[in-house]
Amino acid sequence: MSDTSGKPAEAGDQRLLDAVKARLDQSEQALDGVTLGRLRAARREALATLGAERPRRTWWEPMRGLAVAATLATLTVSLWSLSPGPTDTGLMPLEDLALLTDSEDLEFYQDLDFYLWLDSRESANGDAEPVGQGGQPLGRDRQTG
Amino acid sequence: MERRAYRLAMIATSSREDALDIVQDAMLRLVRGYGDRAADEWGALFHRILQSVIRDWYRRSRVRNRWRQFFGGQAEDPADGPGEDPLETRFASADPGPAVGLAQTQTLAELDRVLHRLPLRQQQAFLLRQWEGLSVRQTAEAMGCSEGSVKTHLSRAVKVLREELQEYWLENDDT
Repeated sequence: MSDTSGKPAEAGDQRLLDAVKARLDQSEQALDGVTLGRLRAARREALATLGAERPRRTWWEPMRGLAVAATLATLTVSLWSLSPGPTDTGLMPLEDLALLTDSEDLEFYQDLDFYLWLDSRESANGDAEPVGQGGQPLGRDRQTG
Repeated sequence: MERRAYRLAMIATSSREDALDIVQDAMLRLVRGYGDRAADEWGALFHRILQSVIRDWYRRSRVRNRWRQFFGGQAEDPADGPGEDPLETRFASADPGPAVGLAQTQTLAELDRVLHRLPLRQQQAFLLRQWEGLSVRQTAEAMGCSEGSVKTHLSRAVKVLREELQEYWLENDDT
């Protein structure tokens, strides 16, 4: 048997292969009527779709593809530019967890930026304690909830 | 064309309904995808599509059987066991060898059994080369692999057939 030609070469193999081929040929001719009928029907059905389902190609068809691609690209860039930065995304689960488990009022978190800014100003001015919700010192405010 | 395609699909699937579905699917894909090609190109294209559809069927069967076994059932087809890749693995029949003196009417069923249990790649290489008479290049195109792979798969397939069939079949086959 030859591995380079892709065709077995030994005489014994060839005799076997001829016998196999003859048997397969017989089997092809011996298909039952029902199977043949279904195969013919499948062939007819396939040929019936020829021309019926294939839309005519028009000159603007490639343009349509380009338009879809351009729209998708624009949409992707827009969504990407509007999405939160990587820092926000990375902190989301922990922030969510803190919000869910802390007894602090939600309004406190909504104004958190303001209090942090206020805190930084107070610290810069040398004052001792940051201010929390309602003007209370931040540490005490969070403890009392 | 459809007769032989059906036999190829039948050997691959061992299921009449699946084989008919595969042939129908391949014909529809041919017409829809390549209906505007010249008729003399259809033969090669059809082989390519048919083999592709058969490979898809094999992959789906593997996944289906894996899930079936996961939930405690049994694989539908022993050639599609979950632990092996039927596209690549070597023939691994657990059945005893064919009995000497098998009646001639049974030889076709026996041949189908042996061919069906070949790994799909070997089965495809053998049938396309030896039965369809495609060249190595045409077979490689139909199978979507290299010509070297075709030669390797064919060589292994013939080795299995020789081991499984030659001793008794040639002695008992008077065709």
